[in-house]
Amino acid sequence: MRNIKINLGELTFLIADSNSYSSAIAHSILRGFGANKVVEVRDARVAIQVLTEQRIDLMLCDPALPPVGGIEFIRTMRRNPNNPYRTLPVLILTGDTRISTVKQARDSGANMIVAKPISPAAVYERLAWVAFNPRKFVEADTYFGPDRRLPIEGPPEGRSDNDPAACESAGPTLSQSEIDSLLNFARNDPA
Amino acid sequence: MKNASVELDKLKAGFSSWLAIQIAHLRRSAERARAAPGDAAGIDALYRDSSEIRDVAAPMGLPLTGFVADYLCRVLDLTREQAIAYPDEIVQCHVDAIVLTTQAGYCGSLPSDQQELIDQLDRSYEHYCTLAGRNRATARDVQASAG
Repeated sequence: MRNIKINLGELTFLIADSNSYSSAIAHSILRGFGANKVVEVRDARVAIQVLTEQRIDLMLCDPALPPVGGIEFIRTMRRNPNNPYRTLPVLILTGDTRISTVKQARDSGANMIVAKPISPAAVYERLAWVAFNPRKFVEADTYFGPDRRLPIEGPPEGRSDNDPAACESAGPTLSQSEIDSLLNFARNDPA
Repeated sequence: MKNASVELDKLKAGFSSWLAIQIAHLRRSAERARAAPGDAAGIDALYRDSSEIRDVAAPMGLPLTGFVADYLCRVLDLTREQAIAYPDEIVQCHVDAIVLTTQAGYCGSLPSDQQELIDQLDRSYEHYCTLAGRNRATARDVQASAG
């Protein structure tokens, strides 16, 4: 996956994160990958305004996004059938990697979940995954979003143990590879 | 990938001043939570301050600081889930440990470089998990299973 090259120069990204430094880190990583159109917002109200006023190709969202939280924001965005950006690809960047939070993020309709602290490799692999392995959207009574089952080859690799930016969480929280595997297990979940 | 790392390095110049402000917020939030341990909004603010440090410290070259902030978040998770009363003493210990990890001798260390500190945090967390009736793995368990 790391050998695949994606051209981010023509894409417009929206980073929705109330933490200005965390947002700046994501912005820097995208800029390093060649993205030159990146919009940063600190709350969901401004995010909606940006999404309404300009074309956004991909959103990176924090679960703690005010005022209602990023997960609820994405769920609402996905569920409204009249929403023009309903199928916008979304990556959730979360430092809260408790299994309950990761499942909520997955079930909100996010395309991918990336554990904070983020590293360039983790972001790039998941951007490439979203770009080259788009999943069909599923509409059910309780869910609208990308098919929560990943193809048989599975999700991209998790963070490398040698990655200096990777600081694995302990205890009840999940590593990036465990987060990815939840998408595999989702095939057993009712939609 | 190299360009992304270069861009990240540029951010490091302003990180110490951001972190100093953030730690001041964290201390104030901890003082407020001590004064009003039943106030959920106050504990949420403390959690937010800690999580902001947790999310950015490692990419900015302070992985141990991020690790300790993550521990504080997990202690506060138990409080927010109303599993235990607000643990003022352990919160203060974590806040002090966060400050310590930003200072010379600790700055830039990996968690595995400071095993004594990690062991102390593990013991505190285990203690509070026991009080909360939770059975949760600690960093030591994770390291052991990985090994």
